[in-house]
Amino acid sequence: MGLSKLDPRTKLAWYVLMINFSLISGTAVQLSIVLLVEVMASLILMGSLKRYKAMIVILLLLGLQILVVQLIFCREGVLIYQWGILKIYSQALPLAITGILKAGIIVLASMHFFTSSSPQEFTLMLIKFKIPYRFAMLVGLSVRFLPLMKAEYISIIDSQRARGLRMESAWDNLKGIFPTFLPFLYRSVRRATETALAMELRGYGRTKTRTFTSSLELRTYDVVLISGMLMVIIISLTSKILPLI
Amino acid sequence: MNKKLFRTDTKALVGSVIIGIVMLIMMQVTGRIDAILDPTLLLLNGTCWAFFTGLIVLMYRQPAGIIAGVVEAVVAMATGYSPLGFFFLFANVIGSVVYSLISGRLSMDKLGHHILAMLGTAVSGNLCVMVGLIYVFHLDWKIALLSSCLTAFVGTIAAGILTKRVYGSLQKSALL
Repeated sequence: MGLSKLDPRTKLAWYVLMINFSLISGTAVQLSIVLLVEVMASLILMGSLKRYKAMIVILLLLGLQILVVQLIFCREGVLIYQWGILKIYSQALPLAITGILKAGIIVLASMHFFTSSSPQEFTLMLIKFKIPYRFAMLVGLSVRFLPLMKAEYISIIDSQRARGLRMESAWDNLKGIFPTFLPFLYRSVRRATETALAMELRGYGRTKTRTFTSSLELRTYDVVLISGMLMVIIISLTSKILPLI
Repeated sequence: MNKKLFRTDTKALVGSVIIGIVMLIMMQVTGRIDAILDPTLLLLNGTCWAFFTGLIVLMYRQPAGIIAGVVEAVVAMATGYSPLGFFFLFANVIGSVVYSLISGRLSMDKLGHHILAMLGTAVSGNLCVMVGLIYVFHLDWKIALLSSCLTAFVGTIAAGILTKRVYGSLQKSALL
Protein backbone atom coordinates (compact mmCIF):
# COMPACT_ATOMS: atom_id res chain seq x y z
CA MET A 1 0.00 0.00 0.00
CA GLY A 2 1.58 3.30 -1.10
CA LEU A 3 1.50 6.49 0.92
CA SER A 4 -0.59 8.15 -1.77
CA LYS A 5 -3.36 5.52 -1.25
CA LEU A 6 -3.95 6.68 2.32
CA ASP A 7 -6.63 9.25 3.05
CA PRO A 8 -5.21 12.77 3.67
CA ARG A 9 -6.89 12.71 7.11
CA THR A 10 -4.80 9.64 8.02
CA LYS A 11 -1.68 11.51 6.92
CA LEU A 12 -2.77 14.51 8.99
CA ALA A 13 -3.12 12.26 12.08
CA TRP A 14 0.37 10.86 11.39
CA TYR A 15 1.74 14.39 11.07
CA VAL A 16 0.18 15.49 14.38
CA LEU A 17 1.52 12.31 16.05
CA MET A 18 5.07 12.98 14.86
CA ILE A 19 4.97 16.67 15.89
CA ASN A 20 3.65 15.56 19.28
CA PHE A 21 6.50 13.06 19.72
CA SER A 22 9.14 15.53 18.58
CA LEU A 23 7.96 18.11 21.12
CA ILE A 24 7.42 15.82 24.13
CA SER A 25 10.47 13.57 23.71
CA GLY A 26 13.36 14.88 25.76
CA THR A 27 16.29 12.55 25.15
CA ALA A 28 18.34 11.86 22.05
CA VAL A 29 17.54 8.12 22.32
CA GLN A 30 13.76 8.70 22.29
CA LEU A 31 14.08 11.12 19.39
CA SER A 32 16.32 8.72 17.45
CA ILE A 33 13.69 5.98 17.83
CA VAL A 34 10.94 8.32 16.55
CA LEU A 35 13.11 9.37 13.59
CA LEU A 36 13.92 5.73 12.84
CA VAL A 37 10.20 4.85 12.87
CA GLU A 38 9.56 7.75 10.49
CA VAL A 39 12.31 6.64 8.10
CA MET A 40 11.08 3.01 8.23
CA ALA A 41 7.52 4.17 7.51
CA SER A 42 8.82 6.13 4.48
CA LEU A 43 10.72 3.09 3.24
CA ILE A 44 7.74 0.75 3.66
CA LEU A 45 5.20 3.12 2.10
CA MET A 46 7.32 4.58 -0.70
CA GLY A 47 10.02 1.99 -1.34
CA SER A 48 12.93 4.48 -1.32
CA LEU A 49 14.16 7.68 0.28
CA LYS A 50 15.32 9.29 -2.99
CA ARG A 51 12.80 12.13 -2.84
CA TYR A 52 14.27 13.28 0.49
CA LYS A 53 17.79 13.80 -0.91
CA ALA A 54 17.38 17.59 -0.98
CA MET A 55 16.03 17.51 2.56
CA ILE A 56 19.20 15.85 3.86
CA VAL A 57 21.31 18.72 2.48
CA ILE A 58 18.95 21.27 4.09
CA LEU A 59 19.10 19.38 7.39
CA LEU A 60 22.91 19.27 7.31
CA LEU A 61 23.04 23.06 6.87
CA LEU A 62 20.44 23.49 9.58
CA GLY A 63 22.33 21.14 11.88
CA LEU A 64 25.47 23.22 11.42
CA GLN A 65 23.49 26.34 12.32
CA ILE A 66 22.06 24.71 15.48
CA LEU A 67 25.54 23.48 16.47
CA VAL A 68 27.05 26.98 16.08
CA VAL A 69 24.20 28.52 18.10
CA GLN A 70 24.61 25.96 20.90
CA LEU A 71 28.41 26.32 20.95
CA ILE A 72 28.08 30.10 21.31
CA PHE A 73 25.11 30.34 23.68
CA CYS A 74 24.86 27.10 25.70
CA ARG A 75 25.71 27.63 29.39
CA GLU A 76 24.79 24.15 30.72
CA GLY A 77 27.29 21.57 32.01
CA VAL A 78 30.94 22.25 32.79
CA LEU A 79 33.24 24.66 30.98
CA ILE A 80 35.47 22.65 28.64
CA TYR A 81 37.06 25.38 26.49
CA GLN A 82 37.47 29.14 26.70
CA TRP A 83 38.86 31.51 24.08
CA GLY A 84 38.31 35.16 24.97
CA ILE A 85 34.58 35.69 25.48
CA LEU A 86 33.76 32.42 23.69
CA LYS A 87 33.01 29.69 26.28
CA ILE A 88 32.11 26.15 25.27
CA TYR A 89 30.20 24.02 27.79
CA SER A 90 29.90 20.23 27.90
CA GLN A 91 26.14 20.18 27.21
CA ALA A 92 26.43 22.12 23.92
CA LEU A 93 26.91 19.04 21.74
CA PRO A 94 24.15 16.83 23.30
CA LEU A 95 21.70 19.75 23.09
CA ALA A 96 22.68 20.40 19.47
CA ILE A 97 22.12 16.71 18.63
CA THR A 98 18.68 16.79 20.31
CA GLY A 99 17.79 19.97 18.40
CA ILE A 100 18.91 18.46 15.08
CA LEU A 101 16.88 15.26 15.74
CA LYS A 102 13.77 17.29 16.60
CA ALA A 103 14.22 19.43 13.50
CA GLY A 104 14.71 16.28 11.40
CA ILE A 105 11.50 14.67 12.70
CA ILE A 106 9.45 17.83 12.07
CA VAL A 107 10.85 18.40 8.57
CA LEU A 108 10.41 14.74 7.53
CA ALA A 109 6.86 14.58 8.91
CA SER A 110 6.00 17.84 7.11
CA MET A 111 7.34 16.49 3.84
CA HIS A 112 5.39 13.23 4.32
CA PHE A 113 2.16 15.10 4.82
CA PHE A 114 2.45 17.93 2.32
CA THR A 115 4.12 16.16 -0.59
CA SER A 116 2.16 12.91 -0.60
CA SER A 117 -1.28 14.36 -1.35
CA SER A 118 -2.49 16.23 -4.41
CA PRO A 119 -3.92 19.77 -4.11
CA GLN A 120 -7.36 18.34 -4.93
CA GLU A 121 -7.09 15.89 -2.02
CA PHE A 122 -6.26 18.77 0.31
CA THR A 123 -9.23 20.70 -1.04
CA LEU A 124 -11.53 17.71 -0.49
CA MET A 125 -10.13 17.22 3.02
CA LEU A 126 -10.89 20.85 3.88
CA ILE A 127 -14.41 20.45 2.47
CA LYS A 128 -14.86 17.40 4.75
CA PHE A 129 -13.81 19.67 7.65
CA LYS A 130 -16.77 21.93 6.66
CA ILE A 131 -14.58 24.73 5.23
CA PRO A 132 -16.54 26.61 2.50
CA TYR A 133 -15.34 25.67 -1.01
CA ARG A 134 -14.35 29.28 -1.82
CA PHE A 135 -11.63 28.96 0.83
CA ALA A 136 -10.81 25.26 0.33
CA MET A 137 -10.10 25.75 -3.38
CA LEU A 138 -7.33 28.24 -2.60
CA VAL A 139 -4.99 25.27 -1.96
CA GLY A 140 -4.99 24.42 -5.67
CA LEU A 141 -4.52 28.09 -6.54
CA SER A 142 -1.44 28.38 -4.34
CA VAL A 143 0.13 25.21 -5.79
CA ARG A 144 -0.56 26.50 -9.33
CA PHE A 145 0.86 29.95 -8.68
CA LEU A 146 4.01 29.05 -6.70
CA PRO A 147 6.20 28.13 -9.73
CA LEU A 148 4.73 30.99 -11.78
CA MET A 149 5.56 33.56 -9.12
CA LYS A 150 9.08 32.15 -8.68
CA ALA A 151 9.65 32.42 -12.43
CA GLU A 152 8.34 35.99 -12.36
CA TYR A 153 10.70 36.97 -9.55
CA ILE A 154 13.66 35.47 -11.42
CA SER A 155 12.67 37.36 -14.59
CA ILE A 156 12.52 40.63 -12.59
CA ILE A 157 16.01 39.94 -11.17
CA ASP A 158 17.28 39.27 -14.72
CA SER A 159 15.70 42.50 -15.98
CA GLN A 160 17.32 44.52 -13.20
CA ARG A 161 20.67 42.81 -13.82
CA ALA A 162 20.40 43.78 -17.49
CA ARG A 163 19.98 47.38 -16.28
CA GLY A 164 23.24 47.11 -14.31
CA LEU A 165 22.14 45.88 -10.84
CA ARG A 166 24.90 43.81 -9.22
CA MET A 167 23.70 40.56 -7.53
CA GLU A 168 26.95 38.73 -6.75
CA SER A 169 27.71 38.85 -3.01
CA ALA A 170 25.39 38.70 0.03
CA TRP A 171 25.79 42.50 0.39
CA ASP A 172 24.78 43.00 -3.27
CA ASN A 173 21.74 40.79 -2.70
CA LEU A 174 20.83 42.86 0.35
CA LYS A 175 21.07 46.09 -1.66
CA GLY A 176 19.16 44.45 -4.51
CA ILE A 177 16.11 43.58 -2.41
CA PHE A 178 14.25 46.87 -2.97
CA PRO A 179 14.84 47.23 -6.74
CA THR A 180 13.64 43.66 -7.28
CA PHE A 181 11.00 43.32 -4.59
CA LEU A 182 8.89 46.42 -5.28
CA PRO A 183 8.24 45.67 -8.99
CA PHE A 184 7.51 42.06 -7.95
CA LEU A 185 4.96 43.19 -5.36
CA TYR A 186 3.19 45.61 -7.73
CA ARG A 187 3.04 43.02 -10.52
CA SER A 188 1.65 40.47 -8.04
CA VAL A 189 -1.12 42.82 -6.92
CA ARG A 190 -2.05 43.44 -10.56
CA ARG A 191 -1.97 39.68 -11.25
CA ALA A 192 -4.23 39.04 -8.22
CA THR A 193 -6.79 41.54 -9.53
CA GLU A 194 -6.77 40.00 -13.02
CA THR A 195 -6.98 36.41 -11.71
CA ALA A 196 -9.85 37.25 -9.36
CA LEU A 197 -11.76 38.85 -12.22
CA ALA A 198 -11.14 35.82 -14.47
CA MET A 199 -12.31 33.44 -11.73
CA GLU A 200 -15.47 35.43 -11.04
CA LEU A 201 -16.28 35.47 -14.76
CA ARG A 202 -16.04 31.65 -14.67
CA GLY A 203 -18.58 31.48 -11.84
CA TYR A 204 -16.31 31.16 -8.78
CA GLY A 205 -18.32 32.00 -5.67
CA ARG A 206 -21.62 32.28 -7.57
CA THR A 207 -23.24 29.46 -5.56
CA LYS A 208 -22.71 28.40 -1.95
CA THR A 209 -21.78 24.81 -2.77
CA ARG A 210 -20.31 22.99 -5.75
CA THR A 211 -19.58 19.45 -6.89
CA PHE A 212 -16.20 17.82 -7.46
CA THR A 213 -15.12 15.09 -9.87
CA SER A 214 -13.92 12.89 -6.97
CA SER A 215 -14.67 12.51 -3.28
CA LEU A 216 -12.89 11.26 -0.15
CA GLU A 217 -14.10 8.16 1.67
CA LEU A 218 -12.46 6.74 4.79
CA ARG A 219 -11.59 3.04 4.35
CA THR A 220 -11.45 0.55 7.23
CA TYR A 221 -7.64 0.74 7.51
CA ASP A 222 -7.83 4.56 7.57
CA VAL A 223 -10.31 4.43 10.46
CA VAL A 224 -8.14 1.92 12.36
CA LEU A 225 -4.96 3.98 11.78
CA ILE A 226 -6.57 7.30 12.75
CA SER A 227 -8.13 5.81 15.91
CA GLY A 228 -4.83 4.19 16.92
CA MET A 229 -2.83 7.37 16.36
CA LEU A 230 -5.35 9.57 18.19
CA MET A 231 -5.28 7.14 21.11
CA VAL A 232 -1.46 7.30 21.28
CA ILE A 233 -1.60 11.14 21.18
CA ILE A 234 -4.20 11.27 23.97
CA ILE A 235 -2.26 8.77 26.15
CA SER A 236 1.07 10.58 25.68
CA LEU A 237 -0.45 14.01 26.38
CA THR A 238 -2.33 12.71 29.43
CA SER A 239 0.83 11.12 30.82
CA LYS A 240 2.62 14.47 30.42
CA ILE A 241 -0.17 16.66 31.83
CA LEU A 242 -1.41 14.46 34.74
CA PRO A 243 1.80 14.72 36.84
CA LEU A 244 1.56 18.54 36.59
CA ILE A 245 -1.96 18.63 38.16
CA MET B 1 -15.95 47.94 12.51
CA ASN B 2 -16.79 44.76 10.54
CA LYS B 3 -15.95 46.53 7.29
CA LYS B 4 -12.55 47.42 8.67
CA LEU B 5 -11.83 43.87 9.84
CA PHE B 6 -13.32 41.56 7.21
CA ARG B 7 -13.30 41.32 3.45
CA THR B 8 -14.32 38.08 1.72
CA ASP B 9 -14.63 39.04 -1.95
CA THR B 10 -12.77 37.00 -4.59
CA LYS B 11 -10.13 39.69 -5.09
CA ALA B 12 -9.20 39.55 -1.40
CA LEU B 13 -9.07 35.73 -1.33
CA VAL B 14 -7.00 35.41 -4.52
CA GLY B 15 -4.83 38.36 -3.45
CA SER B 16 -4.15 36.69 -0.11
CA VAL B 17 -2.83 33.56 -1.84
CA ILE B 18 -0.71 35.46 -4.37
CA ILE B 19 0.73 37.91 -1.85
CA GLY B 20 1.23 34.93 0.50
CA ILE B 21 3.45 33.38 -2.19
CA VAL B 22 5.30 36.70 -2.63
CA MET B 23 5.80 36.73 1.15
CA LEU B 24 7.15 33.17 1.03
CA ILE B 25 9.62 33.96 -1.77
CA MET B 26 10.85 37.11 -0.04
CA MET B 27 11.16 35.25 3.28
CA GLN B 28 13.36 32.66 1.58
CA VAL B 29 15.50 35.38 -0.05
CA THR B 30 15.95 37.33 3.20
CA GLY B 31 16.42 34.07 5.14
CA ARG B 32 19.40 33.17 2.96
CA ILE B 33 20.93 36.64 3.39
CA ASP B 34 20.37 36.39 7.16
CA ALA B 35 22.01 32.96 7.27
CA ILE B 36 25.21 34.63 6.04
CA LEU B 37 25.02 38.01 7.82
CA ASP B 38 23.29 37.25 11.18
CA PRO B 39 22.40 33.54 11.51
CA THR B 40 21.26 33.75 15.12
CA LEU B 41 19.12 36.90 14.94
CA LEU B 42 17.32 36.72 11.55
CA LEU B 43 16.66 40.48 11.63
CA LEU B 44 15.93 40.79 7.89
CA ASN B 45 13.67 37.77 7.92
CA GLY B 46 11.78 39.06 10.96
CA THR B 47 11.36 42.48 9.37
CA CYS B 48 10.17 40.92 6.11
CA TRP B 49 7.64 38.75 8.00
CA ALA B 50 6.26 41.70 10.00
CA PHE B 51 6.06 43.90 6.89
CA PHE B 52 4.08 41.36 4.87
CA THR B 53 1.81 40.44 7.78
CA GLY B 54 0.87 44.10 8.15
CA LEU B 55 0.65 44.89 4.44
CA ILE B 56 -1.66 41.97 3.62
CA VAL B 57 -4.03 42.90 6.45
CA LEU B 58 -4.11 46.53 5.27
CA MET B 59 -4.67 45.51 1.65
CA TYR B 60 -7.13 42.64 1.97
CA ARG B 61 -8.08 42.52 5.71
CA GLN B 62 -9.23 39.18 7.23
CA PRO B 63 -9.38 36.26 6.53
CA ALA B 64 -6.83 37.17 3.83
CA GLY B 65 -4.13 37.84 6.45
CA ILE B 66 -4.67 34.42 8.01
CA ILE B 67 -4.77 32.67 4.61
CA ALA B 68 -1.51 34.32 3.48
CA GLY B 69 0.14 33.39 6.77
CA VAL B 70 -1.02 29.78 6.50
CA VAL B 71 0.17 29.57 2.85
CA GLU B 72 3.61 30.85 3.89
CA ALA B 73 3.91 28.51 6.89
CA VAL B 74 2.63 25.42 5.05
CA VAL B 75 5.01 25.86 2.10
CA ALA B 76 7.86 26.51 4.57
CA MET B 77 7.02 23.19 6.22
CA ALA B 78 6.54 21.30 2.95
CA THR B 79 9.88 22.42 1.53
CA GLY B 80 11.76 21.85 4.77
CA TYR B 81 12.78 25.51 4.67
CA SER B 82 12.69 25.72 8.47
CA PRO B 83 11.94 23.30 11.32
CA LEU B 84 10.24 26.26 12.99
CA GLY B 85 7.65 26.18 10.18
CA PHE B 86 5.16 24.56 12.56
CA PHE B 87 5.54 27.53 14.93
CA PHE B 88 5.35 29.99 12.00
CA LEU B 89 1.79 28.73 11.54
CA PHE B 90 0.81 30.11 14.95
CA ALA B 91 3.05 33.18 14.64
CA ASN B 92 1.53 34.14 11.28
CA VAL B 93 -2.08 33.61 12.36
CA ILE B 94 -1.76 35.31 15.76
CA GLY B 95 0.38 38.16 14.36
CA SER B 96 -2.13 38.81 11.61
CA VAL B 97 -5.13 38.79 13.96
CA VAL B 98 -3.35 41.16 16.37
CA TYR B 99 -2.53 43.55 13.49
CA SER B 100 -6.17 43.48 12.39
CA LEU B 101 -7.46 44.21 15.87
CA ILE B 102 -5.09 47.16 16.38
CA SER B 103 -5.35 48.62 12.85
CA GLY B 104 -9.16 48.27 12.99
CA ARG B 105 -9.24 50.78 15.86
CA LEU B 106 -6.86 53.30 14.28
CA SER B 107 -7.10 55.48 11.19
CA MET B 108 -3.66 54.23 10.00
CA ASP B 109 -2.88 57.66 8.55
CA LYS B 110 0.08 58.37 10.82
CA LEU B 111 3.40 56.59 11.14
CA GLY B 112 2.72 56.13 14.87
CA HIS B 113 -0.37 54.05 14.07
CA HIS B 114 1.66 51.75 11.82
CA ILE B 115 4.40 51.40 14.44
CA LEU B 116 1.83 50.62 17.16
CA ALA B 117 0.08 47.97 15.08
CA MET B 118 3.42 46.50 14.07
CA LEU B 119 4.54 46.39 17.71
CA GLY B 120 1.61 44.12 18.61
CA THR B 121 2.27 41.91 15.59
CA ALA B 122 6.02 41.65 16.12
CA VAL B 123 5.72 40.90 19.85
CA SER B 124 2.98 38.25 19.49
CA GLY B 125 4.59 36.60 16.45
CA ASN B 126 8.07 36.54 17.95
CA LEU B 127 6.70 35.04 21.16
CA CYS B 128 5.50 32.03 19.12
CA VAL B 129 8.89 31.77 17.42
CA MET B 130 10.54 32.02 20.86
CA VAL B 131 8.61 28.92 21.98
CA GLY B 132 9.93 27.17 18.87
CA LEU B 133 13.49 28.25 19.61
CA ILE B 134 13.20 26.83 23.13
CA TYR B 135 11.47 23.55 22.22
CA VAL B 136 13.10 22.73 18.87
CA PHE B 137 16.54 24.36 19.04
CA HIS B 138 16.82 23.83 22.83
CA LEU B 139 18.02 27.40 23.27
CA ASP B 140 18.15 28.76 26.80
CA TRP B 141 14.96 30.82 27.39
CA LYS B 142 16.98 33.95 28.17
CA ILE B 143 18.86 33.70 24.86
CA ALA B 144 15.62 32.95 23.00
CA LEU B 145 13.94 35.94 24.69
CA LEU B 146 16.85 38.24 23.83
CA SER B 147 16.85 37.08 20.20
CA SER B 148 13.05 37.49 19.93
CA CYS B 149 13.10 40.93 21.57
CA LEU B 150 15.82 42.16 19.20
CA THR B 151 13.99 40.82 16.16
CA ALA B 152 10.69 42.29 17.39
CA PHE B 153 12.29 45.70 18.03
CA VAL B 154 13.99 45.94 14.63
CA GLY B 155 10.91 44.49 12.91
CA THR B 156 8.58 47.01 14.56
CA ILE B 157 10.55 50.06 13.48
CA ALA B 158 11.68 48.95 10.02
CA ALA B 159 8.48 47.13 9.03
CA GLY B 160 6.30 49.95 10.44
CA ILE B 161 8.01 52.54 8.23
CA LEU B 162 8.06 50.22 5.21
CA THR B 163 4.39 49.28 5.55
CA LYS B 164 3.32 52.91 5.65
CA ARG B 165 5.36 53.83 2.57
CA VAL B 166 4.52 50.79 0.45
CA TYR B 167 0.82 50.80 1.39
CA GLY B 168 0.69 54.52 0.62
CA SER B 169 2.24 54.00 -2.80
CA LEU B 170 -0.13 51.08 -3.52
CA GLN B 171 -3.11 53.29 -2.68
CA LYS B 172 -1.80 56.06 -4.95
CA SER B 173 -1.24 53.58 -7.80
CA ALA B 174 -4.93 52.54 -7.66
CA LEU B 175 -3.90 48.88 -7.82
CA LEU B 176 -5.96 47.97 -4.75
